[in-house]
Amino acid sequence: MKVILRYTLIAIAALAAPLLFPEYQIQLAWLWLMVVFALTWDAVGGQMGYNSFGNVFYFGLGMYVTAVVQRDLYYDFEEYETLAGSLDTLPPADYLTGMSLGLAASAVCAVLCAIVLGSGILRLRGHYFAICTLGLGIAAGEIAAGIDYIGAGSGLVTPVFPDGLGEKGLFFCYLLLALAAVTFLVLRWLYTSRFGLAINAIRDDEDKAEAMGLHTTRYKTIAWCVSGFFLAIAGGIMGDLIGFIDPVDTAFAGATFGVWMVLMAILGGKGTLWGPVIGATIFHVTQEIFWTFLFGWQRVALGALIVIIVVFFPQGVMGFARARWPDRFGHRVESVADEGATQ
Amino acid sequence: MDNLQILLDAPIFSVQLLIDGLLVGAIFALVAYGMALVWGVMNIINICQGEYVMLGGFITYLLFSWGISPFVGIPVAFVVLYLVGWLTYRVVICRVVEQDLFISILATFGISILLQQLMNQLFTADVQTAEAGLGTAFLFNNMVTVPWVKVVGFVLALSVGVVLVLFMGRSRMGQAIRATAQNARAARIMGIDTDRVYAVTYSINAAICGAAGALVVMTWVVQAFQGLAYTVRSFMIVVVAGIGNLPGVVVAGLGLGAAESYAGFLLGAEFQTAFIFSLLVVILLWRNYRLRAQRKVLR
Amino acid sequence: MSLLQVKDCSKSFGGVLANDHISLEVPEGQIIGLIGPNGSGKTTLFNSVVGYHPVDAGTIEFKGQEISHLQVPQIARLGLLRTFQQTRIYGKMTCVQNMQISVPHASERLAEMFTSFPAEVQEKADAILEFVGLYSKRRLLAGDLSFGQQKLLEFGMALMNQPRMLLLDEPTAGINPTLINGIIDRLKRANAEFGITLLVIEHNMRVIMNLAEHIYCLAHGKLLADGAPDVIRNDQRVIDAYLGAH
Repeated sequence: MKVILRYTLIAIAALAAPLLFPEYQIQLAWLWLMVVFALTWDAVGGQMGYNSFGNVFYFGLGMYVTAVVQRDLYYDFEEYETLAGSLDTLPPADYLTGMSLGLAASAVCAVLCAIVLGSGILRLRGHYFAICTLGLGIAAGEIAAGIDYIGAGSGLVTPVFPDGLGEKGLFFCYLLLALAAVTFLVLRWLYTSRFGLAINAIRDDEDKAEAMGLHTTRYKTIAWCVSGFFLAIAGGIMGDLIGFIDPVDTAFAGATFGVWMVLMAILGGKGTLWGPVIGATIFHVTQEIFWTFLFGWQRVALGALIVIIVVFFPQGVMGFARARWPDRFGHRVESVADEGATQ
Repeated sequence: MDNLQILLDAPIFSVQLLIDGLLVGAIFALVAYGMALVWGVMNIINICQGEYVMLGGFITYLLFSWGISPFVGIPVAFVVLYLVGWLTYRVVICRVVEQDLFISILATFGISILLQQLMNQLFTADVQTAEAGLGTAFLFNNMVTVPWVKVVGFVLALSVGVVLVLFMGRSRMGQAIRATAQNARAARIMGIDTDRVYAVTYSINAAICGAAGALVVMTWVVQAFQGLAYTVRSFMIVVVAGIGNLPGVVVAGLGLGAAESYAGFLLGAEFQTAFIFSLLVVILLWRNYRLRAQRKVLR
Repeated sequence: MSLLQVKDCSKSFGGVLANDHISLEVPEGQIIGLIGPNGSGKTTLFNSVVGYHPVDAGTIEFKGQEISHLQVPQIARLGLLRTFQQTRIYGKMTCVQNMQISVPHASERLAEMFTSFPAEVQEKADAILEFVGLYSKRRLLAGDLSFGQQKLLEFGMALMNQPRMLLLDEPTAGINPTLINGIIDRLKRANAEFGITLLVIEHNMRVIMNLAEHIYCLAHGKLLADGAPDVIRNDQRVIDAYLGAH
């Protein structure tokens, strides 16, 4: 009961916020994106122990696939390049169709990539996995910057948001909120099922899990597929929100989004369900504050923040809460004397 | 890949690419040696390795912009980065040194981002260079040009390497470092101040990178965001050569330099960075594949 | 019927010949012991059998099937499990969760991966936890248990997996002597009631003489002697190997 009440309150707050504070609609949209980032990273990192620096690969992939689908459905790609910006906006129905098909295509591409890349990359362990995925994310950005079909280094412009769909900020805010909610609920379901225990076992001792006959490869691949799935959709949506895709700074933004994903999950408490959500919220608010008051130096401050959190607060908010109030936050530390237990 | 035809038609270009690659490869090997040192002794993969190189480059560039010869930058960058390394160790690294490797990767990544962005703020993202004024050698009927500064850079890189190896082999601190690398707890029991060993090791690494950075800005360029590529190069070299394997590091470093040189020519300069990071992925996957055949795992 | 048959297995690491043409046989339903001084190659043999590393020569057959080329999880799913000398459990999960995830995985269908565990699994986990004496600690994190309790948990997890055969690497190492009888007892019951064939590495002579029906003794990578406990106990070569009289 308490759980349902808690979720309902949060849902109401989330739905009302953009209406009550219209000037913050875009910021809220970004907040939901950060939540998706943190949750998807944690599914593979905190819950499964595969700390990835390259999940941004799926984000960028999704961004480009959606944009290309949207563009190619209605325009000729060379014409688009030369006239970008001065083309007529699409009618709302076409825009939505393009976006839906684009997001679907993004999700499918991401899952396929996760399976193919995962067959090699998921066999790496620990820091080799981390650095390999780092390479993946950055290489993807650099390679994308050389492909003319998707705009190469000059980037790709996405279709302009048409009139007739309401406020752009509100639309994207709710769209991303929906994505964040679905991601959260799907992960919640997974974590309480056999899947959740399996990936935790892989995290705690993968060799033991293998020695017990667990299909570790299956679980690892599916976890990465789930992560990639939601990231790709997020990427597709963000491409349309931002309006312009730069291969290295927007799409495959390894040094920004890629690192923030990790940081948010750790800040909130990795390996927990709410940890990434909390971490994303705190991080996003902090980032907005930095941007407002430290403009220009906010990236430097973020670098310092990463160091501070990692060194002084690696257990994150949830970790801290669990240590301080173990009974409230999930773990028993005393044995339970039960009737019927014989020694 | 049209350039491939040029290489086949005029093999002399190959010589140019090879020389360019080997000369810069010595610098890669030097930076990789530093990374292997920190990795072997402290079990830390120093992601801000490339940023130390970049800092060394900017220090030398500053000297150059004040009219001082960039060669002076080599010792100056060495000393300044030694201090930077020491400071970083005391503030951050000493707290993550005996923890989870991932924590240290993330911490050094944070430092890397901090340094990149700091230099971006101070110097903008523009590319800078420092002229050493040494002129160029023309070989093979003017078909191959070798800037003298690159040759000097090659020699200096190898010299620093030799000095380091002598230090590690002959000095007491070097001995202490090697002992700590093999078994930190035993070293402590024998009276070695492992904290000091770690600090010195980390600082020496930073200093090496600083000196390398001075060489880089003279022979090539410095840019606020060039760091990660150097980190990745070092990592690849260490992974391929293995931590204790100094000759391997040298060979791998020279090899990487040559490979990059060819790749830059064949794929185009805009794919140079893509090549480096893609090569990282390929190397890691290939090594793991080979180890799996022996039923081992790349740990 | 031989459940496990190791024929002429050799394995070297660098220049060291850890296993030199070892042959042994484990009949179904029995408890077989593997003893030998430190460095004699016992754990190497275990590792070879479970697929942790390939063998240089020889064959290993389980249930009549050649397994020396298979991977660790594949062998585990055939019903051949091992416990570790440095006890390995899932430290950040509760004991119950450790048990639940140890169900047999050989017939796991894709859809089953996403469902919760059925009630029978929960009951079985509770039953086995009680069998090993950890029922009252079932909600604690496995990492918070004492070493001896973790060993019991690891044993319980192995039972949960319903193996045909279990390779135990020093099951009483590091255990308080007063608790050792409890372990011997549980091992015998696992063998008698659950029908699990056991191959046990042990240093504690009292334990292995009490437990095993047939014992193999290794020394310096070679098979030194094998036979019934009484025979082995009085074999001069075995005594020499342990006391180092050569």
